[in-house]
Amino acid sequence: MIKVDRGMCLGCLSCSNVCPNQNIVRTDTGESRTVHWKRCKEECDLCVEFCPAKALTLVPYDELVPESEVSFELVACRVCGSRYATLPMLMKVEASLPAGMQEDASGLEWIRICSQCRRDIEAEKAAGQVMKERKRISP
Amino acid sequence: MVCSTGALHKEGDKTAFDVDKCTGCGLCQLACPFGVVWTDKIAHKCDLCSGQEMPTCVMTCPANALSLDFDLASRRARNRAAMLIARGGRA
Repeated sequence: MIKVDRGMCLGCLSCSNVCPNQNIVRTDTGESRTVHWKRCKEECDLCVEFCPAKALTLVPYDELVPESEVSFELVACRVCGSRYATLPMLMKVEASLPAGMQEDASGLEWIRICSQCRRDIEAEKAAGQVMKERKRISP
Repeated sequence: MVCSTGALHKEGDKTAFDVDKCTGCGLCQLACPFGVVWTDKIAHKCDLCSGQEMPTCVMTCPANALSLDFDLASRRARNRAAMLIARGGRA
């Protein structure tokens, strides 16, 4: 069965995606995400191998050990308010980006914006440039 | 940088994607400032129609607005400005 280091788990989608037996159940409910590891008897360690945070270890099956569960609050997008990621995931991304790339005019704010809104903002920016150009040519 | 399995990796200038290595963790989606990577079970990202001579969107764009030449947009803008000046207008 799988032992979870709660302090290291990011609450990402990796282990629940790679588990071939649906023994890791991820539930997103509005404002929070829960990951639940069932007490599995398999000697499979796919989730251990693929955990990006190295938070999982394979330990001998023990009926007396309670099943593990970790809960995370989902962070709300600063623009649209949709809940899009866990805080440890965002912190992992912040720490992994090269220093120069992280910051734009508003610093690291963009990481706190969901993907959909990031795409919308980029499209607005590009459209704004084109429209300015067109007005200049045919006022 | 955030991809821990090497599914997303650099091939020359472009970022290539090896679907077999992807676990769908979702970190790449959060790391993309432009919001063009998304995840559902696995990550999805434009691969410029790898293996094809030209991406399908470029081939089919009725306005020829899309191209693989990343300098084209700025060249077009300069040309428009030059034409305007030639006609006596102000750039």
